[in-house]
Amino acid sequence: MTNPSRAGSWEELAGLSRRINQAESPQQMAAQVIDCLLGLLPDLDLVLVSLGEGQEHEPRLPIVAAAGHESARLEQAFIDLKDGSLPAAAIGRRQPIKWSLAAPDPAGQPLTQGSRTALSIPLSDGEHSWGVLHLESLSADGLGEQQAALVRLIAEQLSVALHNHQLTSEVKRERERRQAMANISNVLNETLELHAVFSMIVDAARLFIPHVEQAVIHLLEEEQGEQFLRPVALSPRPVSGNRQPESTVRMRPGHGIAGLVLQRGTFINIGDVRADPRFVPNRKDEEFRSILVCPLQSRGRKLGTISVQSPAPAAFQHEAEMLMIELAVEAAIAIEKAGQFEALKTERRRQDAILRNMADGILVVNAAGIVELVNPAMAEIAGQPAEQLIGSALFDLPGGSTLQVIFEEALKKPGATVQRDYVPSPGVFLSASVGVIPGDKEQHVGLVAAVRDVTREREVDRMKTDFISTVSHELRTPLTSILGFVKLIRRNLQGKILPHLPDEDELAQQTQQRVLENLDIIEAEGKRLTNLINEVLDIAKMESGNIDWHMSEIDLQSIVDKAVIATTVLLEHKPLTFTMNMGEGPKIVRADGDRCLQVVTNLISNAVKFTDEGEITVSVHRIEDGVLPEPRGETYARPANLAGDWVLTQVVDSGIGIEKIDLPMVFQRFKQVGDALTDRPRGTGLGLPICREIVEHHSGYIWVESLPGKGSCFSFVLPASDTKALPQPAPEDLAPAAALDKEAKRLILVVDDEEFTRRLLLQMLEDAGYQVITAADGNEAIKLARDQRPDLIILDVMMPQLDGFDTLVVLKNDPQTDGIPVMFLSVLERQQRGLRLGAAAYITKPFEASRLLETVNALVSVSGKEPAAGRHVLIIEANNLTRASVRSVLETRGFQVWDVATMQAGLQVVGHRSPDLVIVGLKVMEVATPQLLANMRRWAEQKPVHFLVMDLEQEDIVESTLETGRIQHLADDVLENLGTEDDVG
Amino acid sequence: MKRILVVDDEPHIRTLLEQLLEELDGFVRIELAKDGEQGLRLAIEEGPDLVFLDIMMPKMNGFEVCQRIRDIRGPESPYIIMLSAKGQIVDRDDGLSSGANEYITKPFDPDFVLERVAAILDIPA
Repeated sequence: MTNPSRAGSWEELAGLSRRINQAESPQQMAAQVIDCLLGLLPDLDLVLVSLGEGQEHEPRLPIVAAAGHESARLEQAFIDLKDGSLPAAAIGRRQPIKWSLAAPDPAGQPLTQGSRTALSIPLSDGEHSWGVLHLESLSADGLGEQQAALVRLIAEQLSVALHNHQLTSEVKRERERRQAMANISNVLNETLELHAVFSMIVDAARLFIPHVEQAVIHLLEEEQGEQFLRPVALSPRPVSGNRQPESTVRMRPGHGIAGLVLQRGTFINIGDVRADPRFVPNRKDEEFRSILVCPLQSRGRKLGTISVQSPAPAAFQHEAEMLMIELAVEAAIAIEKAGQFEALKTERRRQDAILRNMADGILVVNAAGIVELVNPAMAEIAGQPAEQLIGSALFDLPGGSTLQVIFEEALKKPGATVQRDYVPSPGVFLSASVGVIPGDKEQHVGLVAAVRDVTREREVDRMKTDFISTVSHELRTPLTSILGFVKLIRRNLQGKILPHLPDEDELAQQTQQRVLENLDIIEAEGKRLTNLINEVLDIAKMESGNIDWHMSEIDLQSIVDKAVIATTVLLEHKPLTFTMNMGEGPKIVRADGDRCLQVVTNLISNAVKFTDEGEITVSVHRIEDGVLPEPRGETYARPANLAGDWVLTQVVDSGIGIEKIDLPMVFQRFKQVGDALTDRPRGTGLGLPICREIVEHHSGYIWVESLPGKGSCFSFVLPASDTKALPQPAPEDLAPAAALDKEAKRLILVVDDEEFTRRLLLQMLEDAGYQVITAADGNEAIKLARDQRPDLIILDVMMPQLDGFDTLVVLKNDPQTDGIPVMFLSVLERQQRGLRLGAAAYITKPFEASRLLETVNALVSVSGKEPAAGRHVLIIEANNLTRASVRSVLETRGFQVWDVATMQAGLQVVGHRSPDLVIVGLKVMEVATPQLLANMRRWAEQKPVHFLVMDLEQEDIVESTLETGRIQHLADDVLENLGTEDDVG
Repeated sequence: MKRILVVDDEPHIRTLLEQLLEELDGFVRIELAKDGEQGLRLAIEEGPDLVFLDIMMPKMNGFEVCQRIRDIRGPESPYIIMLSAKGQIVDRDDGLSSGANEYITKPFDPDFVLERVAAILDIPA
């Protein structure tokens, strides 16, 4: 054997140290050490490195590297720790063992026969053991003291390197583990498909957790009130698709390992399931010994468990446990998220299916008015593909401008559904029900509309209305004959036949009485039938929406005034006290004035009908924040909670009242409550249903309160208009005369044979600051007019003895009174006759208080001026209300007015009459054909006439043409009354 | 002597109006037409002062009769009262637009009709 030079040895050792520290694996380190030892010790015949710790169930270490002549004779690839070999003994002792044939150590034998010397050095730092370095030589002095010292040095270096490697690889593994977990977490986060998430989790468990052969997820589910754990994912996946996941046992919480884990909320790691009685075995589970089960819980909610299994006993150590806990946390979050998404998707699919299969069109727009969603039905209704509709503005849809208005209305009523019909194209009728989609922070995130094609319904409705219209026509014609001939018969009887009956013939006298009574009955029933027809027609039109509502800001107080006047005649034959009770505050609503009048009139006549004595009170109040007065007795249909401001109108009577059981019937058609056998006057049974239709059309409520025997109270509320919407005339506007001239109050003579009307006018005019005297008939009026010289006379037409027209003729023929302006106030529509006789104005009852006052003010202020009578104005304006209001302004000034709705009709008027002024509404001008306009111009050129085109709704003159100057002062008058400063040009 | 033309396809209504207007005997002469065509012809040929005109009639409806009378007679047109069982506002507008002076719905009050006739034709009541 050769002694290596010391210097050479040190050099070798330094090189070895560098090389093993650079080695990437323990195997490489072992190889380097063996190479080096073979170089340094030429007599070596076997050198090997065995690494590992050995397991209890498998006590042997694999040989990772071996060299030398004898290495080929090694029979085993591992060191058996129990077979009494020298390296096994060295590991056991944790001490190097030097062996020689001369002095054999009894602890163990060399690995090859024939070896004379051997050396086993455990690779250890005294605490950890990494394996063993074992050398043998056939030479007796192959491993002497010197060589042994060198080998120990090398073994020490290897131990240090192995230790270092272990440390760095642990750090590296930890880093890799974290990286892997982060990757899993990322992938899981991005995956929302529940089954993909399951697969990913079980695959990750199998790949990243050491020794895992199989991973399973159980989810906690509920069926028929019972909870159980159902296996949902398995890795590796079963070969056959039909096979259930391996572990098909359904465990209840608290049973089996998984059940226990779920219950406890902490993991359980079992080294050998065969020794654990808690384990519930399955056929397949026999292959497994170790099992590690972790709960899946998210935010305290138990979702299920994840288990990993291994055929080796005690396969899962601390590291595996930590990894499992981490994985379980990530998995639970991912499962919950995917579950929620799945639920969302299911919900979405359900909604999609609902939307797709709905017959109604569904339209969703966002807060910016952009269409976000439409269903196929909507696309069909709109006649455009859904893709085209989505993203376009609501406004651009067919009928979009109307829809916009409906949507805006809906925005004002969050929480309510606004239902309106609209016409996107001629002949197509759609009905949209629109609601607001509430937002979390914002007031709303958009609106949703259900749109239905109601063209067919409309068609049916129209046919129904046409039918009713026709029927009513067919009924009216015979009724005309019946009622007409009854009157003629009575007239003939009374005038020509009855006077010739002998007075002494008692039977004839009796029969005469009876015949007249019978005629009265025919007439009364005929009138009732007429009312019934009118009301049936009314309600049919309302129900089919076939009615034009003339909406404007109206004062309910004036509506009640009118209604009271219209029903005065009913009160005449009953000992009833009538009271009006007007509350504070503006009582302005946006409504159809005529229809509201119909409601109030109906309620008052009902009250009169069912009250024989006592009192009737009509009140109008503005109510704030929906606070209604206390109910009077039992109620029906009284709104429970009103929000906002309303105008409340109540008609209270002291009549017979209504039994509680009958209350719900009062608003039903053709239902008349009470005893049908009494001789009480019967109505049509349609009055209240019509009232309800009208009130509900105005978004109001109508209800009844009653105490049987004490009386009833019918109430309705309409939403109060913003008071700013209607400029309230200031008191001085209403009565300038009074305000300017308090000393000498203007005097007005009111002539009416009805005491009630006299009282009403007296109060109204006195309130407006006038001095008022009254007369009950024409003769008295003429006398008073001569004596008092009033500034204005308000004259009824129908009066006993001397009627209004005759009275006027007398007044106008008397130089003492001919200068006093006279204004007619009558239920008769006989403007032309009145104005022809020289009246300054003609107002029909029922009248609007404000309009009456305006007229009175105007007449009183112009009295003394030359009257404008004899001047003729033609108004051509499509809007009935505008036309009527312009007409009334002009009539106030004493003009004679003709008004027509179309240019065509206007041309006909000028064809046989000669107006001094023609006022044409802008709308009429716009829709008139060029031919008509040309005709009108030609006519205007032939005659000296003033021709004004006005935007009457805006009260603004937009153009003035064909001006001749001849009647300049007339135009000035018009302008003054219309309140504009524009020059006529 | 004023002349009144009644145009209505319903014989009873014609009779009713005829008998009713007879109360103004001595002031008026009454002529009857049973459909629109006949009504128009009489209105043109006879030159009545006042025409009662039904709307729904065979051959020619009241609106058309009214317009034709206005077109043909011009400033010489009679006073025309539309008399119809149609009671809708739009009908009244149509009636007045077609040139009628007044519009009275059926069933009408005979007294009111007499009063109107007296006023229009300046007949003392």
